[in-house]
Amino acid sequence: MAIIETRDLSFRYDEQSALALDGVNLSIEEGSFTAVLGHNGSGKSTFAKHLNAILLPTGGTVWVGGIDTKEESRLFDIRKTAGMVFQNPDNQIVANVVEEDVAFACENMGLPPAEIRSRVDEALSAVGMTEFARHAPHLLSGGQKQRIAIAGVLAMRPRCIVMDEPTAMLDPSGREEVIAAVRKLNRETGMTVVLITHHMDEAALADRVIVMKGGKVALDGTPRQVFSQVERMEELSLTAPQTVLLLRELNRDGAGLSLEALSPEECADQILKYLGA
Amino acid sequence: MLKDITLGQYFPGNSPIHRMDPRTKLLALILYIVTIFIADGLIPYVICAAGLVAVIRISRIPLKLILKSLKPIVIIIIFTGALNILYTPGTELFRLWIFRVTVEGIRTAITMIVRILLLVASTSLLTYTTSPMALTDGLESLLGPLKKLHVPVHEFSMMMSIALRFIPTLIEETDKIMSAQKARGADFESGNIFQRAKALVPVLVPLFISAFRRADDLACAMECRLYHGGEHRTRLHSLRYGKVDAWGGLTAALVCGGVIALSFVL
Amino acid sequence: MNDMNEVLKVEHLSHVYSAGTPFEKKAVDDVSFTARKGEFIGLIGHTGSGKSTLIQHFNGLLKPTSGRVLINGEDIFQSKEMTRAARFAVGLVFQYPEYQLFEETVYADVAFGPKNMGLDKDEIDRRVRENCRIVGLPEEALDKSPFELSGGQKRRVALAGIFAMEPEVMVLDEPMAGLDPAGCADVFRFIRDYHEKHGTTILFVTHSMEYAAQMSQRIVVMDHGHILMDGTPAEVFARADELIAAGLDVPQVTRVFLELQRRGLSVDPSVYTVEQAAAQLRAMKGGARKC
Repeated sequence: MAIIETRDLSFRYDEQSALALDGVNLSIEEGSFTAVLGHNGSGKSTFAKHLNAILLPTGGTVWVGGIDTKEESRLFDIRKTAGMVFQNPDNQIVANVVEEDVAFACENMGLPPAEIRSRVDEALSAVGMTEFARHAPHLLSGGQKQRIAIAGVLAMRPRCIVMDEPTAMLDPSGREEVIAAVRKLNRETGMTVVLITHHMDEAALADRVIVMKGGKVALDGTPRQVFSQVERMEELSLTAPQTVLLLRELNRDGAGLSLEALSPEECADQILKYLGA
Repeated sequence: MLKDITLGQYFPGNSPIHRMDPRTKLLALILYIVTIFIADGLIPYVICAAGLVAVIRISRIPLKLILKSLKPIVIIIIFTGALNILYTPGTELFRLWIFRVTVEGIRTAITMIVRILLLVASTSLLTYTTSPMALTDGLESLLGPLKKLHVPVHEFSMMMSIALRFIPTLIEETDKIMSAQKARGADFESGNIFQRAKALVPVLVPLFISAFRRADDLACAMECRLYHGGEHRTRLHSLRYGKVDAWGGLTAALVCGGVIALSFVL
Repeated sequence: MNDMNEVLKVEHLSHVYSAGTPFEKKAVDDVSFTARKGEFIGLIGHTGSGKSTLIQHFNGLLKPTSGRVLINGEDIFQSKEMTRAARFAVGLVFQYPEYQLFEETVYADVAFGPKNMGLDKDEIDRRVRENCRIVGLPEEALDKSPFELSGGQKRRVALAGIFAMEPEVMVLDEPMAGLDPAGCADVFRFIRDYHEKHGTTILFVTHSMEYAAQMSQRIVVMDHGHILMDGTPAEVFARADELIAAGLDVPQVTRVFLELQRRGLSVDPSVYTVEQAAAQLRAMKGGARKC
């Protein structure tokens, strides 16, 4: 079984409101890096909150690591399997000192201090924040705070990390820091990552992109497959990356270039083809 | 502006006083305060003061900082001094308008002033050398027995440490909101006290709303990191008594005990 | 003589935080800069480049450590009255401005600024309604509590609150931060509509080169408390590699053209839109065919 499975997942916030999630069937493989794109109100954050049993489905089922999220007695097992990082870096840091914050989950798990120590050191080094262990969190930059939040989740040794718009409040360098840390985790330790975002360039780095609209999955595929469907993207009022748009523009002259170019290098390859070099 | 306020000032260091367990420091402070209120006579107070100065030297906290902590209480000291001088009955020394200044009055005044000075200086030494988190942990541990009486000791200490964590964040936020409202023409500097209080509404409302939002977010984030109250919770830095504590505690007990004994003998 | 078009002028402005302490930091270092009437200027720089400190001098919220700020030729720190007048002459929209909302109704919140300006009731009413319309808030929203609205709508209310002060210069600090693409596009449009309607001088602070290039006739780049570049978007993008070195996000097409240049093609990397890029490539292909 995949690490996360949903079957006919539906959810509404209250009786009168429309469905925030409407029959979502997804399965997320262990070790994959999945980006979930969509506008505000598309249901992407609601979806993320189901992966950690913050919300429970009003219809259908969610399994995290094989456990049905409705099983109340296994709440801690679910949360240990899929750790959650939130949008606002300030509002998820509990302690006054970086390492004590990273230790928070382990302390709640009742681990012995020596074990906590080694997990904290490991988690801090995984996000490249070891030298800040004794710092006060409020003096760090947004990107650094968000990496601390990731370390705090890593210390639980989860199999999957779910990030709900972790870069929405960061500046470009902070975004880059956080995304680089997450990619490294995914590549080097095989951590499953589910990244909720509205930045195309972040989604382009994932193995798989899921676009949501109106509580449903609208597109699902590799970044290349998804972003090269320019018209479908526009229908969903998302803008494809400039590299794809440029190649499509050149294709109007019948150049027949492949639109599956996400990096400047790939795009340059196609342009050289266009120029006949 | 607001950023200049430093609450629960802590000056990191590595002196024996810094390394001491917060519980030892708290207990020693309580003992010290009891002592300065029991102590009587010149010599006991000289010993108390000398002891404090010695501890300050060991902690390597500049004396200037300790003196700075005494500044805000100058008015209290003058007030207490004056009250004691003017209202203590006893042998008249001289008359000042309708008041009788007595020998006992001057004596009590000096004693009271010395007590307040030592009290404040020793307490600030504790906060200067102990991080707020350690202090909270120490309090939680010392008050631990109260848990049996269903006093929510852990919850209070968690609340306190979260408050400490968010004070800088909220101060920064207040600064930002004030700037934003000033940009919309809000005026915090003129008018009488009522007008000024009213002018704060545009700052306080957004501040409260934001604090509640943060509290909501934080509660959710804490639950996602498996928080379930104080039961079966361990700590990264569990408090442990060491050699420093043995020596420090012993010295404090001996000196304070000596001073108390001396006060009764004299 | 003062040029009447120079609505906002900054002369040799420096700002030092916590002067005389170990935390001393020079956030703005000898910056001179002039904004003319009706200009739409993009001010860009990464976090810590000094741009946020600089803009807080324009309406007198911060006092320069040295240097002067002139509005229509008058030093805003010459008297208390001038400083207060500067608050209304230069409207400043902070980051995440929805966090400043406090009134019971949208109407009252938008009216807060105009009221502080001492305008009469009819004028306030006109400004509130007109500017709520510009930001696309429907009439029925005016009586609602701003806290019932969605995040994007709260942002609109906050923008309308500054728009309604109808300042001569409007400074917007990252007005799109945290919004989704649709929300960004909306805010983008409101600012342009407002600029067209009022001819206000606009300073648009952002770290996105893409937005700055799309909106502005002039781009000012700040780095380490200095002005690194000041020119038209084409002039600024011609130095794209320096922008990347200053930690800025350049549009992807610019990166593609830098890559082409690296591969030995003689392209002009000062492009920043897909249309410009396609036009240049088409011209190159056409030229190549002629040979």
